Amino acid sequence: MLVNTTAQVGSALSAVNAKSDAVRDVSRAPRTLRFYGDEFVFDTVSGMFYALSPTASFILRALDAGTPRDQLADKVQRRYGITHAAAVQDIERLHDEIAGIQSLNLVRA
Amino acid sequence: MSSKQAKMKCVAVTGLHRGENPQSGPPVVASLRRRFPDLRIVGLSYDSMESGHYSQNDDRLDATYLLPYPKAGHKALLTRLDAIDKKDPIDAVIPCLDSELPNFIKIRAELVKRGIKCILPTAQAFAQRSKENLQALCRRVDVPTPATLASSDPAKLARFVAKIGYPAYLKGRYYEAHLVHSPQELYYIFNELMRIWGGPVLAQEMTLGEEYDVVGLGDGEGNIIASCSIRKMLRTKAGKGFAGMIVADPALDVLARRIVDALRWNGPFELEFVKAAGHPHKLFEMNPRFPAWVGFPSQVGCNLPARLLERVLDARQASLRECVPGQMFVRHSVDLVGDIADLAQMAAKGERVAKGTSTPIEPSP
Repeated sequence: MLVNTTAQVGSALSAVNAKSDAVRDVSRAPRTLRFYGDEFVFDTVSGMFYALSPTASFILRALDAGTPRDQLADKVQRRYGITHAAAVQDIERLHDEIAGIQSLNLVRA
Repeated sequence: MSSKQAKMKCVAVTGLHRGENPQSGPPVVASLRRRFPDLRIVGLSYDSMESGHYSQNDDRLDATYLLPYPKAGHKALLTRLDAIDKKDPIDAVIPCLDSELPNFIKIRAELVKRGIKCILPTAQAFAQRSKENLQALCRRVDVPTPATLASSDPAKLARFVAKIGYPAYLKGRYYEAHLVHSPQELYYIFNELMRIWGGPVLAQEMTLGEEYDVVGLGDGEGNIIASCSIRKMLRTKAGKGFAGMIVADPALDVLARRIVDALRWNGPFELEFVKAAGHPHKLFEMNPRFPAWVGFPSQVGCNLPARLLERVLDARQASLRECVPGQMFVRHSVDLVGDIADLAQMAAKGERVAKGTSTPIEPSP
């Protein structure tokens, strides 16, 4: 399950849920995530950094590359062979766990 | 040509202690030495046990002089500076402590007459950013800030905190912040803060979140000459940053510009923000001087103390590098070696001239 892998994210950091009602075009947002391999990401805006599972890394890289929110779940579904509902749920959970990353707020519906 | 023009420039710096509540004098000295290796730097301090007296590192001082405590007033400060200036002519002074700034602002014109230059905010700007007035300033320029009440009446503060909810911060006028969880604790801390710092005491809403700080230099006309923003990664119990990471957040830059523009701030400043995820940054304090971590940006090419001195002395201005997100600092405490003779000299005469740097050698058995 994707949930199990994303559960590793941000274990030492606060996981306060972000509540942003802004829905913007993420492809226009400047890239603010810096990846160090597949297991570590740094957000240049918030200064937050996280140890990642490969799956979380895949989702964040897709977001950072400008993948629209409505296509993100499809990508995750295809990559990991899970149901669409499970992919959506896991993306939401990832979002909540690493709410400190600013660019994620851009895609929150 | 006056004696001041003929000799090497001499700068006086205050705030020399790097204890558990580290002051910014030593990193300011180190930053100045980085850019001006031949500069003469004298330390002005209030206690012979301030650690900066004993450093032989890059923050070493050529001489140190004791000052009367700020509560002695601006006249006592000027009298002492006159005596120091006669013995060790000073070209510029960089105050690094909140509590002494009102005195320096009051004697600014007198210092200029004596050829001692400094860059300071106006008395009005200084007052507007004070803890008790910050909320009004933030409202005026649309900068979010935690709900705050300043009062010398503990009952008023208790009613206010009952409204915003416990726990809340209780803060001294210049320094110290305590989290209080009950009215009993509030009254106890209130009395302590009043005893040490006088009134008013501030009660402030507690916001859970990450802390972001901006150090910068205002040009006095509403612009920021240069700045560096960090997220505090490690904090002591007293909230002092012991590690920080550079960030590049346009939202933070906008808020900093609003404050500096509104105050026409002249000189160094530190803006302290707290941010809960999904919410805007809230400004909870503006310090009217360099912070203790100012040595960090100066080590990565953004030497703000050096730029300040260039402005003070009308010297050629070296370019400053942009602070790159991801660069970080971790504070590392060290033990400085002194001798009782040094302490005796400071305690007895109120001054000490350094004998020059020495390379530490391991003593023979």
